Amino acid sequence: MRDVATKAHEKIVVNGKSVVTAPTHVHIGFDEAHVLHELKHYLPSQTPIKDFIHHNTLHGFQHLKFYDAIFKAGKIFGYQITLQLTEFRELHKIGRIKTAVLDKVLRDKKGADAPAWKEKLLTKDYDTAVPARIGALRANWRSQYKIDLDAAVHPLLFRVLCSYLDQGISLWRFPVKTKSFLGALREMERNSFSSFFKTKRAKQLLLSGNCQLPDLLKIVVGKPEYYEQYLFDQQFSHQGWSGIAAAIEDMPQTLLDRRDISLHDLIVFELLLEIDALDFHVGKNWEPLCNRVTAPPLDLFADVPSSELQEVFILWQDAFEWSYYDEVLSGIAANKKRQQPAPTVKSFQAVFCIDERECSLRRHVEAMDPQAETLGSPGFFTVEFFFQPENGQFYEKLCPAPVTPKYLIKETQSNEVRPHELLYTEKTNTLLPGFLSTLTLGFVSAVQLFLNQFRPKMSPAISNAFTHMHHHSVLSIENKNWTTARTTCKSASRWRK
Amino acid sequence: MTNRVEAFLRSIGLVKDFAPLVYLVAHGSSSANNPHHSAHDCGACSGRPGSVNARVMAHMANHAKVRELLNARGLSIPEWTRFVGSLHDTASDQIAFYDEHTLIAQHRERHKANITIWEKALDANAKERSRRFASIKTKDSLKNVRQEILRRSVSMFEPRPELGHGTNTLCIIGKRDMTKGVFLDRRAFLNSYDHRTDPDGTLLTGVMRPIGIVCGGINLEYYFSRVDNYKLGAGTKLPHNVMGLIGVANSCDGDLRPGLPVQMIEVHDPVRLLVVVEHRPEVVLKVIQTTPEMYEWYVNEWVHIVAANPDDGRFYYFKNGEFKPYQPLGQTADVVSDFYQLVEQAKEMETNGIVDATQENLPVYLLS
Repeated sequence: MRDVATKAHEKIVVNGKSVVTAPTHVHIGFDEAHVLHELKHYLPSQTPIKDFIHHNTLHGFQHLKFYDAIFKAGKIFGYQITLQLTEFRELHKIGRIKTAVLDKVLRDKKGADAPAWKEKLLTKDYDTAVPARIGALRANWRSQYKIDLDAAVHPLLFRVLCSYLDQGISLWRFPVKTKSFLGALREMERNSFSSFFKTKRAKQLLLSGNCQLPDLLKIVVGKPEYYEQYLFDQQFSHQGWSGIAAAIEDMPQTLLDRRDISLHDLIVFELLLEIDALDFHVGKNWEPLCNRVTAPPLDLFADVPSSELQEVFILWQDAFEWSYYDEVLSGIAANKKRQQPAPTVKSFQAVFCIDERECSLRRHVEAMDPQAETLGSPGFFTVEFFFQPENGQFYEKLCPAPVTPKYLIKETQSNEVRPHELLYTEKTNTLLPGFLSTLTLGFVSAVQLFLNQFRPKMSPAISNAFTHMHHHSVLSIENKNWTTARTTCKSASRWRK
Repeated sequence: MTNRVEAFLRSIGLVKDFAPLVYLVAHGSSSANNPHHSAHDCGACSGRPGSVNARVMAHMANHAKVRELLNARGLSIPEWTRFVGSLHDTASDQIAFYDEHTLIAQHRERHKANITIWEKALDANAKERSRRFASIKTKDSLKNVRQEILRRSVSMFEPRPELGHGTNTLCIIGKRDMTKGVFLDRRAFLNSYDHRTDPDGTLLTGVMRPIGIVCGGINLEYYFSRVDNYKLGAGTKLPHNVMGLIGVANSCDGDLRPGLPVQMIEVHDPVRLLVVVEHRPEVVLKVIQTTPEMYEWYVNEWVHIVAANPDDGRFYYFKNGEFKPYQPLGQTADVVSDFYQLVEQAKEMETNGIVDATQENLPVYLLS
């Protein structure tokens, strides 16, 4: 909790865009912008699954040393951050953690105390449960108000979020998608016979536009010194949805069919749903949560004191890692002594991606043809660009995620018709066509699925790596007409020599 | 175009002794009924197959004008050398070559002979991969094993078309001599680099730049999905619903499940990445300190790094801001003469094969 006076900002929608206006309210002890920034920092940052880009799951803690970071993350969010103690012991028992390496780790770190620590690692009983800090404040809804607020709010919240962000699964498209998330909800609420809410107050708050975060938090939480903890509790009760909303807010281009969503809007809607649920289940005269809470606000990110159990996990993890590392370094050292001269005449060379799955294929190519030479380089081969498949509406980035390409490669003359499978038509999801197709195509589908178990084969429903680019298509790589290219490709260009 | 071809070739030390044909082998992955399919594609291509990149670089490297400009910069590619783009499907173990029609007759003959080598290598690769899959008898004939590998990749009922980056642990940056003939059980990212062409580490800076964020990122995502598959991973694939084409959830009322599903991490040992760089420790230190973002990965120990010093043949481990000599414990790696026997006799899963994949990793071997 910040102890400085801070200002809340009103977010309004102008010409379909969210705009932050001048500050309208002053709330001591709650820095809205700071809390939203912190939430985004620690929430999962996975983008939509079509672009699965691997990253450090605990990226929010990367400024700390690995062990400090994982134990802190474990204490705050309740994550299991190493193998279980029993798993380490089993790995040692079956020889995957080598005794010689474990002894070396203990000797290097504990010196004369190594035998005592070894005893702790191997046999001492520990209570390995680490109660998490997250969730403690909102747990009071259940204990003080006898209401499971998550169960009352999450189902509707997730459905509305999913409908708004939907990229093409749903047959019924979200009615208003040209506005921000909150703007769209407001317009629907204003123009619909039905409502997102069961009670009047939340509806009026949304329609009047009088739903700034501090005002809603005052109704739900009551005391500003608890707001930050409450919002962390609330958003980490569904870190997947909150994380994707935050990721899309920062990278709207990650959606092909763009949406104007923000973590702020998500929280506002969730708070409105909470007010609605409490009004409905508890009645109108409920007190804000923190009027009934006696515990002081918790500093979620306070230092986590070190413990003997943490030290035991560190020693096991080091021993596990070096059991393999040492074996590898020994193998490389032994291999150096028997190195054969490289072939002077090379039959062919092959440059693979550095990906570890290509490690074995390189080995087999060399075994099958000792005159062949293999090399490894990151699989974008040092060329960064967007790719537009023939008849594709969108550009696909083909380089590492942090790079923003300036070039566009277009595919033309593929002369291949994209195969289509009648069974996968979306019309089967509607009432009458669905009924009829179930009676007809449904039986064919059932037979096909049955046969597929025994003899699977390629079909249009399968993600086929070879159809990303058609085999005989032409790529627009070289810019032979710079003037034309500039006008046709707009922001992207093609290479000059 | 010239700049990129030069940067590409110099970074991997391919500056002389060109073969008549140089294949650029991109990779992608085919699978059915798999919302996480892009996690199996190329991470350096933003989670997509790299076939376009391979074709583009091959086109550039074959360009007569580019060759001329490269020659003026002291990088001579013989006129008879041709680059060929290709794509390896890591799930089905199939390969496709592009623009073969542009090869002259002599090269076509060579290419035809090379395809036989590629097919044999893919047979062996399929056999090696099969040891972890319950549905395939590794001792079966090469032809049958390859066929079964292909079938898995197109089966609607197969939650493990491949095992992705599971077991990744190493990133070795150096000449192929370091690891050629060493059996690393598909656990190593291998980045070619020749320190002899880069004594002061200028090229190494470019090589090292993506290592933390790409290889370290992959490794840590697998680590955390493995140690806490409930909160940091996506749980089992089987009940997943695809939500709005943006993520997966266990029901329409459930939270989105970021991270990796259990079928991708079950074989993974949660250990941090060990980067081994073939260069002098002082050069490696200077390179990793180029930017605070790069240095953070190493000084905060999210990734381990060892310098393999070519001058004295010793290893130097980076800890607390400095490289210090590391002497391996002297474990001896067994020498294996029959690779197929090694794979066929490897320990298989002890649990029910339908709901599991073989988790046992094999030790480091030297292949004779």
